[in-house]
Amino acid sequence: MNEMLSNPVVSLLVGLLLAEGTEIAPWMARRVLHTAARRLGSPEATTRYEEEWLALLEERPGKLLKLILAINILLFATPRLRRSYRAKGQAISKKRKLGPVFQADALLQRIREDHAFLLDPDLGSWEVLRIRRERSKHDILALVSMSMFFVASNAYFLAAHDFIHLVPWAFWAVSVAAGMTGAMSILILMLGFRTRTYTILIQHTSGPRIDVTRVSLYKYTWPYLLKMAFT
Amino acid sequence: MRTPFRITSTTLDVLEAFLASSEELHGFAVAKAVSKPTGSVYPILSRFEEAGWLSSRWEDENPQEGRPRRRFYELTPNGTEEAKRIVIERRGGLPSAKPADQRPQTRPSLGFMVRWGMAR
Repeated sequence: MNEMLSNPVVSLLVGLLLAEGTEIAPWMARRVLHTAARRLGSPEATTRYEEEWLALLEERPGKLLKLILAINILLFATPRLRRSYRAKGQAISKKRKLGPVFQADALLQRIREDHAFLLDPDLGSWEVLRIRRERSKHDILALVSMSMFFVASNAYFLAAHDFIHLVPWAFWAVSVAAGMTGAMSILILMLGFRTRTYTILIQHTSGPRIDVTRVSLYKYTWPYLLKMAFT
Repeated sequence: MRTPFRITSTTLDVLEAFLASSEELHGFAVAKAVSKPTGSVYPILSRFEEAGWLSSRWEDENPQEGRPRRRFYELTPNGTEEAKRIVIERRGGLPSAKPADQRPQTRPSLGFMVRWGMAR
C-alpha cells in the first residue's frame, strides 16, 4: 500500500480525487437535501423544507460538513417527518372510507340514486344533519360466534398445556370448534361490514327534513373511492 | 398531565433552548443550542408546530441576494406556558434566559483536537 502511494501518479490521482470530492460536496449536499425534501410525501412540506434546509447549508461552515448535515437530515429527519405527514393523510382517508360522518356526500349520492323521484337532484341543496348506524342481525351473530370462539380457544389452550384433562375425542372436538368459530366470526364481521346500513337525517335548504332509513353505502365503496381518486 | 406527543430528553432540551432564548431561533440555532444533530431536531419542531406550541415565519429582513430564506421559530403564548410547566415538572426549574449576544457560540468542528492540543 505504501509503495503504491509513493508512486507519483497514484498520489496525484488520489489528491485529485480528494480535491474534486471536496469541491463537489456542497453540490451533492444540495442534491441530497432536494431528495430528502421530495421524499416527505407532501408537496407543501417539500417546498417548505427544501428551502429551509438549503438555508441551513449556508449556516454550516465547511464543504464536507455540509454534505454530512444533508445526509443526517436525509437519514433522520425525513423518515420521521414522512411518517408524520403520511399519518395525517391516512387519518383523513381512513375517516372518509370508514367513518359515516365523513361519508355524508357518499350517503347523499346513494339516496339520490334510490330516491331520485322524491328528492331535489342537486346534492348541494341538501345538508346531512345526523347519521346513525342501524343495528342488524349480524351484530348479534358476530357477538355469539366470537363468544363461542373465546370459550373453545381457551378450552383448547388449557387442554393443550395440561391444565385440564380431556379425552382425545373431546380434545379433537374442541380444536375443531375453535377453528370453525374463529373462521365464522371473521366471515360474519366481514358480512356485517359490507351490509351495514344507516339512518340518515337530511334537510333541504328550503326547510323540509327527511329521515331516510336503510341507506347502504359499502356496495358503492369502490366506485365512490375510484371517483374520489380520479377527480 | 398528558401532552400531544412523547416527551424525550431531546424534546426537553429543545423546549429549554426556546425558553432560554430571548429571540426567534432557526433550525440550525436550535440544533446548536441543544448540541444534537439537525436531523433529530426537525421532527421535534414539526411536532411542536402541529400542537400549536410553536409558530414559524420565513426570514424577511435583509435577505441576501440568491440565498435561501431561513425559517424562524418562536414559542406561542400557549406553547410558552406548556413548555414552562413541562420543564419545571421534569427538570425541576427553568433555564436562565440568555441575552441575544450570549447565545451558544459555534464550536470548532474538531474541538476535541483543540482541547487535546491545549492540554498537552
